[in-house]
Amino acid sequence: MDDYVSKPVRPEQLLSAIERVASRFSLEPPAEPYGEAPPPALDERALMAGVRGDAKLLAELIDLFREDSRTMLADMEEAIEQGNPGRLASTAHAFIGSLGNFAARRAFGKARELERRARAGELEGARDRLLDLAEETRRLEQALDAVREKMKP
Amino acid sequence: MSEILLVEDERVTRRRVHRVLADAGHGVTSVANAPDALTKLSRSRFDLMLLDVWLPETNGLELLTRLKDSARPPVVIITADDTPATLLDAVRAKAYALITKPIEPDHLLAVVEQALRAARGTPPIRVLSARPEWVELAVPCDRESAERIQSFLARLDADLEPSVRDAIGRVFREMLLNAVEWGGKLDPQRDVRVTYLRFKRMILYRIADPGEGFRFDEISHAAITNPKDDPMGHVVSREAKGLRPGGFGILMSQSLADELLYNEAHNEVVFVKYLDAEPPA
Repeated sequence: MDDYVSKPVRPEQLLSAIERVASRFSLEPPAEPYGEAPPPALDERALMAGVRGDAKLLAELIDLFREDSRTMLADMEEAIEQGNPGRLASTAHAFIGSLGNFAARRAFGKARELERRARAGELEGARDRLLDLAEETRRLEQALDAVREKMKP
Repeated sequence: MSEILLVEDERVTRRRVHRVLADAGHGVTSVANAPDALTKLSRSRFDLMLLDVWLPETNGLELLTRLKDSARPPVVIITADDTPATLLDAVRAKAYALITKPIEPDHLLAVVEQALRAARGTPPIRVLSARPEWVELAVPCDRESAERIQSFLARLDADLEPSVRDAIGRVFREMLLNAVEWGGKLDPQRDVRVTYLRFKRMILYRIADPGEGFRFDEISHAAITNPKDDPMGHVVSREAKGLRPGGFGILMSQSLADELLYNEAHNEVVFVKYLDAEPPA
């Protein structure tokens, strides 16, 4: 026996017992035993809400993003090489806007930090932050492809 | 069908917003920069412009300052930049509303609908001072302007503890609506003066309405005037005056603000929230 509810049954007692039992059989994947599992690159529900469930539009946006993210990441790298924080901030800002379409909170936050520091004229550590953002963008693109695959009729 | 001009340089957002608006039945024209926007505006009539702030070369808000009021449709700003400077520039440029990225479709459509319905014919909010630590505005006495300015100013306090922010927002809303409804008699040709001062350790609001003021013995419909032994006495008065249920505004505001003072005529109110106060246990 996993739990019990004494009679007469009160709905709220029954519900809380069901919740207690259900919580032991969580549908969430178990936590990684060693080290932390990286959090998901995107929130799928918010992603679909953003395109109002339109899989075709989403596929189109993913294609645009793949092209633009390459250009923008390369442009940010060049800005760092040139020691040009203004250009870095401005491209990072455009990249933030682009990321905002995909419910990608982590990448969004990383790009925001890159922009904030560049706006303050700070380039120290910018290369590492950009590499980190590029890696997160790669994860995001993989996650987007997985969603697209799932949406295929 | 309404015609909307979308000015956005980043093409993933442009594509998505275009599609969301078009699917909702709007006619949409999209451009990626300010010169193209100017060309479109000179050739066609639009009911609304959705404008990004950071555009190549010309900033979207600069674009607005170049347009005569009569030559531009109502404007909703869309931006990932919600710094106080940009917020205040948007108010100064008479933007109707501001939507921050990431853009959520339902919210976008709601703001667009509201702007289309209301923007024409509403006198603008005037900016008298727009330093992030000293904002002074003249707000027309209508409920809709009050709601709009409240949503702008709430963003200035985005860095505060949610409970403090919420308390300030509720007091401001209550005091502003009182000023607009009772002081300004909902006449949009009259203004309420709003001053917001941000110090290191406190926030101060002053709201001055264009009315004659009031005496507490005249506002028996407000819970603040109830005798101690009759905490609901104002309800009878509200029913007699045909007012909606409520009347707890001043009472609630006094408990949420750290200081709240009226001038002698009671047509100006100042309230303060200290930022280093211990949260209530």
